[in-house]
Order: sequence, then structure tokens, then C-alpha cells
Amino acid sequence: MSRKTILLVEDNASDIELTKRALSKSHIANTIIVKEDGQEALDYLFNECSQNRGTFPTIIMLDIKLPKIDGLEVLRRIRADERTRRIPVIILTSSGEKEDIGNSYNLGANSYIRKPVDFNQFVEAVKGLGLYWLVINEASPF
Amino acid sequence: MDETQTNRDTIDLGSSNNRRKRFRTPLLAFVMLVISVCIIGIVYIIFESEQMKVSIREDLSTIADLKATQIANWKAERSEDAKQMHESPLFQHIAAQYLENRQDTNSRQLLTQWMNVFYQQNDYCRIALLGTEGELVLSIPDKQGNPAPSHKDYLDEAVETGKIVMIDLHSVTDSDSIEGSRIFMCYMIPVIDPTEASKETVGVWFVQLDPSKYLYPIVHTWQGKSRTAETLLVRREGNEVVYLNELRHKKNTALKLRFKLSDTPNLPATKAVLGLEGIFEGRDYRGIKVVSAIRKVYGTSWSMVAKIDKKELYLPLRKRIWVISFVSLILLLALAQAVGVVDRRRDEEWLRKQLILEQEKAKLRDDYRKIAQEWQETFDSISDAIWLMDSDNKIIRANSATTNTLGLNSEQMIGKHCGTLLHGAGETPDDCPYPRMLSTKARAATEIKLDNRWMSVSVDPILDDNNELIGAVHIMRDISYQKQAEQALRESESIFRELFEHMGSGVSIYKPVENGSNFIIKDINDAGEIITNSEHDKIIGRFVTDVFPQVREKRLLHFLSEVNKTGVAAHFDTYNYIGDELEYWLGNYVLKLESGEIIAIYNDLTDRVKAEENIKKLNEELEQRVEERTAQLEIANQELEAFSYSVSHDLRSPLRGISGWTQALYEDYADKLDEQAKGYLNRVVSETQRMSQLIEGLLKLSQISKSALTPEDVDLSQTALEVLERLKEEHPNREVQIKIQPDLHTLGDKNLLEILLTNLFANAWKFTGKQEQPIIEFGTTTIEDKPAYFVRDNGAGFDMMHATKLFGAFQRMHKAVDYPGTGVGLATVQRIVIRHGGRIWAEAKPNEGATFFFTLQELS
Repeated sequence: MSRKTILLVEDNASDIELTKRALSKSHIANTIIVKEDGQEALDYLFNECSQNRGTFPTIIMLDIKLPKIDGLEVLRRIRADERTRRIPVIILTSSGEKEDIGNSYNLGANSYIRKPVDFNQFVEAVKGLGLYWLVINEASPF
Repeated sequence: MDETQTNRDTIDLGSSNNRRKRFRTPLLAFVMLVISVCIIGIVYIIFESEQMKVSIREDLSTIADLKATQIANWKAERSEDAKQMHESPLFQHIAAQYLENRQDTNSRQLLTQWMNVFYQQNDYCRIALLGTEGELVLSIPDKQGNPAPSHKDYLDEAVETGKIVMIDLHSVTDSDSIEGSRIFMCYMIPVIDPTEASKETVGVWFVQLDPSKYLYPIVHTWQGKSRTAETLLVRREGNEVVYLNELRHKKNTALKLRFKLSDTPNLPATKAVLGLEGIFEGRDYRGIKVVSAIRKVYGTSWSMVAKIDKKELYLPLRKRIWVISFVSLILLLALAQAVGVVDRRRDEEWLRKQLILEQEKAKLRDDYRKIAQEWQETFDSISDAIWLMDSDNKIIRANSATTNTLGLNSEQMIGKHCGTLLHGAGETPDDCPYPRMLSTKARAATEIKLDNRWMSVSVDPILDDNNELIGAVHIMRDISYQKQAEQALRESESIFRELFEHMGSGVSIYKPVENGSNFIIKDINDAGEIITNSEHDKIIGRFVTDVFPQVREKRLLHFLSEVNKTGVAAHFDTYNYIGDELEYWLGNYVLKLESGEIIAIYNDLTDRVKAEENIKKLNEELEQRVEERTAQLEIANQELEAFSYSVSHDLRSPLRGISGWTQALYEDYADKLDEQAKGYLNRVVSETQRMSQLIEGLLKLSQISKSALTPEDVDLSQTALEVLERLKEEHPNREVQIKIQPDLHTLGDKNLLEILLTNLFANAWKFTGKQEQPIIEFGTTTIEDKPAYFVRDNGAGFDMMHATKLFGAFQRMHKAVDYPGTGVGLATVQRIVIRHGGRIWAEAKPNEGATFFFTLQELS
């Protein structure tokens, strides 16, 4: 279990903390690695994780509006690389824009969650998310 | 041509006398012809006979000359022979010797030899040597008797004279000959020995010639064929003329036939022996008329007569006369025949012409009848009243129109005085044209009024060759209509003149000249004067190019010419700018009249054009301003988009933070907070939620403005049904009566229209929430002649005083406690309606429901 890590790409400190709280309240104890901009996230994936094959995150929670490299570009690069293309990516964002939703799925997002303003609803959403992707879903063996 | 004319004249007169004359003419011509033929024949014959006479005489003369010469030559030769014998010394000497010595055989032989030669050479029939006494010494041929006795005289003469003696033709009795005598001619040639000095005649040579051997053939032969021609020799013996040769027409005449000269003066032979020479006509020995040529034979006592019967002489002439006569006769017969044929033909022609003439006469009679009838009918069918009068002014004829017009019949008019009939017993009116016509002897006319009708009355004189009046023709014409027409025309003219003068448009009338290349101004109205700044009286009759030189430059002249040429009316504007300032602008309408005149109607459009130009300028400015505004709006829109995006992302994050951390505070410090604090925290959370909803509404509103429209056929009835089904599902505990008009279709954006209906039905659903029997209705109605959709409910309604706020964003009519909502629903609805080119309004009363009306323009 401990080996299944979650990569959270989010620049808002409040949201990071709330997300961690929501995960913890949902009893998801997996290691959460937080990267605060797109560039950092990519560096992590293609530098750190590449050196040790077992350290790739199990799921990636990705915000769209990010400093330096935005979330959609990060998603595109993840899906373009053989090593990361099968990692489930959940877009976790405030935007309800149709364009953003459409583009995300086009680039291969596995899920799109619009962060609810109400924290209880947010906890519910994260709980369901973690349960589904970390427990129910069988990850790709390759 | 003239001949034809003459013939026609003859025929036209057509009397039998002329016909006889016509017959006589060819007969006369024929007789004349016959006479002339005869005269010509006679003249010809005379001429020919003269020619022939000359010719025959010439022939006779030639023959006579020839024969006389031949005979003379023959005689001369014979005399020469005798002379040679006489003068040959040798021969004479031998003969003398032999006569001396008759035994001299040598001489004898010699002489005999020579005599034979001589005898054989010529036409001598005997040569003999005689002694001076006449004894026969030698003879060849020698069987003959002694010729001396019969010629003793001649012998003695020869002996005596010693000269040659010729014995002329003479007849000698000869028992041997058939006739019993023969004719000879002889010479006695004395033999004189030239060697003897005495020169004595010692003997005589006797040479006998037979004329039938040579002489007579010469005489008898005749060149050419003739049945009567002959030549004869004659000589005189005493008072008689003797024929020396045998004659052609009488036998046994030689030296036997003789005539006394005194008895036969016309006998050619007589004339010959009388010594005449030449051509003579007379009767010959037979007593037949002959023509003869007489010649003396030189060296003889003979005369030559060549003669021919006159009858034979003129035989060819007679033949020719016969032939000519015959030919002439034939010719005359043929001529007579020809004349007969021509005459017959002329006769036929005459008859034919006579027939044509008769036909023409008949036709003329018919024509005359027809013309008379036609004339009468024409006369009666003329609508003008016409009557003829004699020199006494009495009516002699009137047509039907006259009797109709005057209401009189012919009997009442004929023979009456015109004046009395027309003017009654009263005096002739002053304007009666009749007296004027009498004085001028020319047409006189006037106009009179007769029973409310205007009549034109004219009278024309009928004059004879001496210009004397023999009658008159009155013509009366009803000119009421014409008068009325003239009056109407005058009135019309007056109206149009007024119109022309006072109309606001300028009007000029032009007359095309110089083949349409220029125009003369004929008239211009007041407005025209003002517009063209000209004076009527100064420009009339002048060339348009002189008065308005700019018509060339402004191409108005060309335009006028075009209209003149094509006859098609057209508009043409002329204008001028001084710099940017419009000096004038004339709208011209040019047309061509049937009379050929060109009309120009023009209006001064200067002010209007100036105004239009101003408007145009303003429009241009406005457009520019709109463009600027549009650009600003676009920028604003872009800013708004950016704003909404950031609202969606950035405003929600802090809200979530507030909500999240309030929740964390509540959860983590529940034990340290009292109930009031917890209540406050709940308030914080619910306010964040409310703000979140407001932001959502705002986003939706902005999205409606932003999204592009895709027009398609939308079934509004079906859409309404689906929306209401959803509402029913969301609120299963509510009973709402729903009425939807079926088959409402429009062309629009399906998504937006669905949002529109969703909002309106959601409102209706919401505000009927407290109604016991809620009804929601969707349909169409007609508002101000236009179809409009409506959504009606019987819910809470609202006060129309607040209706102006109804469609503003975040505007609310009710307390949130009673009817919660964000206040963007109707704003969204209005936005959608506006985007579909329609409008939306509402009618409502508090607690009696509300009706929302909206129109949609179908999108293309």
C-alpha cells in the first residue's frame, strides 16, 4: 500500500492543505507528493521517478491553472511519454469551462473533478476518487 | 404614227364613201404600177433594139468588110499571077520560042511542066497557050476544046495591046454540067519574047479560073448561125444589076438573076451597083425586108452585099419582149394578188376596229350610266349639304344632306330662289357669301348658326369659257363638332398653358435644327427662367448653344440629340462644383413630342443634393464611429470573457478555502465552540455556498452571450414537454397541470432555446409552488398582428410596477425565503430572446399568475 503514491500538482497552498485533509479524512494514507507548478511536476516525473522505476505515482491529481507550465501541457507530456502514459490522471480544478473539460479528456485525462466550494462535498468527492482509483481500479501491469 | 392616226380618223368617220375611196386607192396604185411597168418595158425594148441594131449593123459591116477584103485579096493575087506570067522573061521566052518552033519538044516539055505546077498550085481550072490567031497550042488539061472563039475579042485585045486582059465572070455553056453552063473567070496574057526587040505579041496565055473553087465559098461562108443571112456579089451590066453567085434563097441565079436598076431602087444590090457603101434597109430579091451592108470590092467591078432578114434581126428582140411581157404579167398578177390580200387584211382590220369601236361605245355608255349613278350616290352620300344653282340663283339640284338639313324635300327646293328659301322673305343677311361671290367670281364662305348648330357655308361660282357666271355650288357643312373641339382645345390649351407657366419644374421646348445637332429655344416657363437664370424674351428663337454655352461641356446637348434621334425619353443630370462646393444640380427629363419638338423638364435639385451629400457625410462619420465603438466593444467583450474565466477559477478558490477552513474549525474545535459559534460558522459556510451560486449564475449568463448560434429546426413543443418532464422528475411530489400547444417549430439554436424554456418553466414551476391547482401553459398567440409565444402560470405573479426590473441580472421579485433564486434566470432568458432577434415582456398580477410573452425571429 505504502508504495502507491499520489502526485498532487497544485499551486494554491490552501487547496493543497484542504486536499490533504480531505484525503486524510477519507482514510487514504498513501504518500502524497506535492508539486506546485507544472515544471516541477514534470521534473519530478521524468528525472526523479525515471531513475527508479518503482517510484512513479499511482495516480496524478492535476490542476489546470498552474504557474510556468499549465496543467493541460503537463497532461500532454505525460501522455506523450511511454513511461507515464498509463498513469491515471485526474483533473482537479475550479474551472467548469466546457473548453477545459473537453481539452482535458482529449489529452487523455481519466477523470475531471470540479472542486466544489463546499468542503463536505469536496471531501466526498476526494473520498470517492481515492477509493475508486487506489482501491477498486486495477492499474496497468506495465 | 401619222398613218395610224389617219387610218383611225378614217375609221372614226366611218362612212361608205370613205370605204369606196379606200378601195380605189390600191386599184389606182395597181394601174399606175402596170403603166409604169409597161413604160419601163417599152423603154427597155427601144433601148435594147437600138443596141441590137447597132450591134447587127456592126456585125454586118464587119462581115462585109472582111469578105470584100478577102475577095479583093484573092483577085489581087490572081492578077499578080497573071502579071508574073506576063513579066517572067524566061517563061515568056520559052513560050515565044515554042510558038516559033512548035516542034521544040524541049520547050514544050518545059512549058508543060511549068503549066502543071501552076495548074495544081491554084484554083485554075485550065491553062492554055494560044497562038495570036487563037489556035490552041498547049493546054492543061489538054482535052478541052479551044476557048478562043468564045473570047475572040479579048484575045485580039491582048494581042494588040500586049497587055493582060481579064475576062470577068461569065457563063459558058457546058453540056457536061448539070445546069448546062459553067461560070468562069479568065485572063488573056500576051506572050512577048523579051529577047526580041520588036516586042511583038507572039501568043497568048489563057488562064481559066473556076470561082466555085475559091471565090464562091468565100462569098457563101457566114460566121455564126443565121437562117437568113447571106453575102452576095453583084455587078452592073448596063441598066441592070446582075447577081454573080448562087443565092441562098433562090437557085440558079448566078449571072442569071438581074434587075433593072430603075425598077428596084430599094434593092440593096441596086444600091451596091450604084456605088453606095454602108448600111441600108430595104427589100431584097425576094421582096423581104432586110438590112444590108454594102461594100465595093477593091480592084473589081463587084460589089459586096452582106444582108440579113430584118425579121431574124429582131427575132431575139421580140423574144425578149415576150419574155419581159410575160414576166411583167406574172409580176403584175402577183402584185394584184398581193394587193388583194393586203386589202382583204385591211378590210378585216377595219371590221375589227369597227367592232372594238362599237364595244368602246357601249362601254362608254355603261361607264356614263355608272358614273352618273356613282355621281348621284356620291352626291347624296356626302354629309355636307350641297346644292347647285343656275345663274338666276334658282336651285336646280340638291343632295340628300341638303334636304335633311333644311327639312325640305327636293320638290320644295328645286326651282326656288336660294335666298327666299333660306332666308325667307326677309332681307339677305350681310354675311351671305352669295353677293360676295357674284362680285369676286371666286369662292366666298362664311359661318352661320342654324338651330344651335354651327354651319360653314361656302359658294363657288360655275363659270363658262367667257368667265360668265352660269351657276353656283352651295356647300353647307355642320362644323358644330369642330367648333366644340376648337373650344375644348382652346380650354385645354389654356389649362396646359397655365400648368406650363406655373409648374414648379422648369420646362423648355426645343426645336431640333442642323440635323439634330443643335436646338432652338421655342418656349420656356417661369420656373425655367428662374432655374436657368434667363429671361424668356431674350432667349426665344435663339440657339441653345448660344444662350447656354455650358450645354456642350455638360453633355446636355449630346443628350438632347440622342433623345431626338432615338425618341426614347430619359433622365440626365447636369451639375457643377466650384471646388468642393456644389454650384447647381439639375435633374433633367428629356422627351420627344410627336411633333418632333424636344421637351426638357428640369428641377433644381441643388439643395436636395447638398442635403443628401450632408447625410452621406454624416453616415460615413457615423459608420466610422460605429466601427470605433465596435472595436471598443470587442475589447470590452474580451475583457469580460477574461473576467468570467477568472471569476470561475479564481473567485471560487478563496470561497472554497473559507468554506473548507470554517469546516475544519468546526470539526477540529467542536468541543471548544459553543452553539452560537457553531451557528456563525454554519452561516459562513452557507454564505460561501450562496456566493458560489451567484458566481455560477454569472458564468452561465456570460456563456450565453459568448457562444455561437447554430440554427436548426427546433420542435419547441417537444422541448417544452421534455423540460417539464425533468421538472416533474425533480419534484415528484407536485401535481401541475400542463398545457402545451403541439407542433410549434422555429429555426434557432436548440441549446439556447432549451435554456430559455427551462428558465421560464422553472420560474413557473417555482412560483406556482403555493398554488393548489397549478397550471402551466405554453402556446402561441397574436400580438399586434405578429405571432408571439407565451408561458403562462397561475402562480404568485408580481406587481407590474416592478416589471422594468424583471429582466435585469440579480433582480428579484420575491423574498428568497418564499421563492429562492439567483436572479439571473430571466436575464438569461432575455439574452437568449434578444440573440434570436425577438423581444420578451410579461403581464402579471400579484397572486393571479404571470404570462411571459416572447417573439423569435427565425435564424437563417
